[in-house]
Amino acid sequence: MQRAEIVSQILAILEDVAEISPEDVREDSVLMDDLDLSSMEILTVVADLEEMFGLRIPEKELRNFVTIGDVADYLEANAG
Amino acid sequence: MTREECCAVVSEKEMPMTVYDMVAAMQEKFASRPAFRWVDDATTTVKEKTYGEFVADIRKMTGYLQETVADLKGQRIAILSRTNYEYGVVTFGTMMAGAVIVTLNQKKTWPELEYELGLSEPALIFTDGIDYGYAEELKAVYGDKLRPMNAYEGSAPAAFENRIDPDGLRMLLFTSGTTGRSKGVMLSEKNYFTAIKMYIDGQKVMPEVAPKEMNQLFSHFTLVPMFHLSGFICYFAYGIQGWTLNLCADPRDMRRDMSMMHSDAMSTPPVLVEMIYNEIRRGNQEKLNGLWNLSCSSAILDPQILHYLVEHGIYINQCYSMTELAGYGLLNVVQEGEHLRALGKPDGFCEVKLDETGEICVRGGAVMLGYYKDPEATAEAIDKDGWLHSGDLARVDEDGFYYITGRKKNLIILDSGENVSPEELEKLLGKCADIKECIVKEMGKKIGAVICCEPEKEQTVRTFVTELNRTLPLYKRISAVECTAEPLPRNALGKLLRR
Repeated sequence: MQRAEIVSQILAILEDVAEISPEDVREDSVLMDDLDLSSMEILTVVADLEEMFGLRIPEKELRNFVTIGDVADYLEANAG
Repeated sequence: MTREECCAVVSEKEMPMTVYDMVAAMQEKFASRPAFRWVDDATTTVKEKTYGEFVADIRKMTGYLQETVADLKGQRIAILSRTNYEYGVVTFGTMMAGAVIVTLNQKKTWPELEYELGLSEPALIFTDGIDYGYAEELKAVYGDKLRPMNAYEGSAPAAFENRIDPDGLRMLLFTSGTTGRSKGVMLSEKNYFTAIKMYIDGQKVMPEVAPKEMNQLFSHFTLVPMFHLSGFICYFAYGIQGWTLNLCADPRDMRRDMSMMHSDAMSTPPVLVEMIYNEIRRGNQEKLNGLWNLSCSSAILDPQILHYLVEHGIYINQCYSMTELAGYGLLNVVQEGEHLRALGKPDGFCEVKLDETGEICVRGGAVMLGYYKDPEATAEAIDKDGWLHSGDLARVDEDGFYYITGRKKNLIILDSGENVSPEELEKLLGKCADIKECIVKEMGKKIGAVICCEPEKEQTVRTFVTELNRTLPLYKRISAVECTAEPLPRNALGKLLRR
């Protein structure tokens, strides 16, 4: 899947889970700071992405998710 | 099952007052009832264990420890695992063996866990086998002590005997210290069985408030982790009643698990209360699958949210408590009016007062034995008359209800229920050469840092914080940064001002 497509999926889920408008999100947006997501909301977003991309992200990878770009990087490398 | 049977509560006279009596009652009174349910990941089906099976496994676990560990009494047995059925087996099998259970937060970083393991010197460590980012380090240091959570399965059951000294050390639970190092809270059986009276008392109203159509045993959706007291206390609050714990091992599976297992109640730190509020507000109450009782803990909630939830059929208990009191504190079951935002009223199971500074103090059977290997910190927390100083400031109204007014301890209590030491994070920030000085504090319910640095270094500092966050567990991340070129305000003694 193309990176742009991955990012747009992330944005759609963010809008659904946390009512964040896609215009307010950039690749370097920090999940907890710029987007004001709680730890629970981040995990909900991750759960939705896992379902959409049909994968389970290992626990130790979750720590690396600080920005939207980090999430996109992981999905780009691991989603089929 | 009739509605009356589903939510019948034990009378004060019948209530077990020891782990031994509680486990005996599980076998004698509740053997065929479901004790635990969970969704099996491999098959995506709901699995179940009865109280009878649970007790049999507890005895096997005690047997396993007796076979494996020399001089078992008083030895520390640690758990590094997410919530699962075996967590309860390992916990109670350890207690019934007369050993000490140490529940660790598996999502902490290796330096934190290395410190906590080093302090508690466990004879064995039971793990779920998941790599949380430190599997190699753990294996290198403790390889010969690691055991899978189900290691007990092949063992012969131990004799059913009471090996527990009620006043002795039974459990170590780690909590954030104000100086940056976590502290091991030492709890006894007596601590738990004093604290639990408050919960059982609060459950007395269930037959009145439970839904009319109730036809399944009262159950709890257990998402809060078992290393946190609000999760752990459920073993007692539900085990004593013979009720069911529905276990959710991973918050990512919350919606799936909730839809597959109807639960009546849920222990909810503020972050979950808000999530449930949002679901109802968006018209998604059916996603809660019949959940109607929230046991709110850890922090003060927005009264407007509480009113909204009550209006939408949710019954609210609010519990103000702390690890050092084995979960005891103040319970508020008021559903309306001004008192909805109070902490609650003392119930008489322990003494509760405000000292001359307005700090909430508690004395009685729930007060911890002390901090493990830390007599200085213990003496700071428990005064010579036996009062535990909570670190929270409060006022009392004319009806006897307590309201929080502030915090004396330098500790951030997050909406997730986690406690975070600002000094610990300040030390980590101090490693950045461009940070002249900094203060970590609560900013709008989150962890924030005010940093003094040269304006041209601001970007470097922000990048440092982003990189630092990659090394921290999710709940401990610094999520707001304010940079200033001005020195941070100090008091007359030169100490940085935190407010």
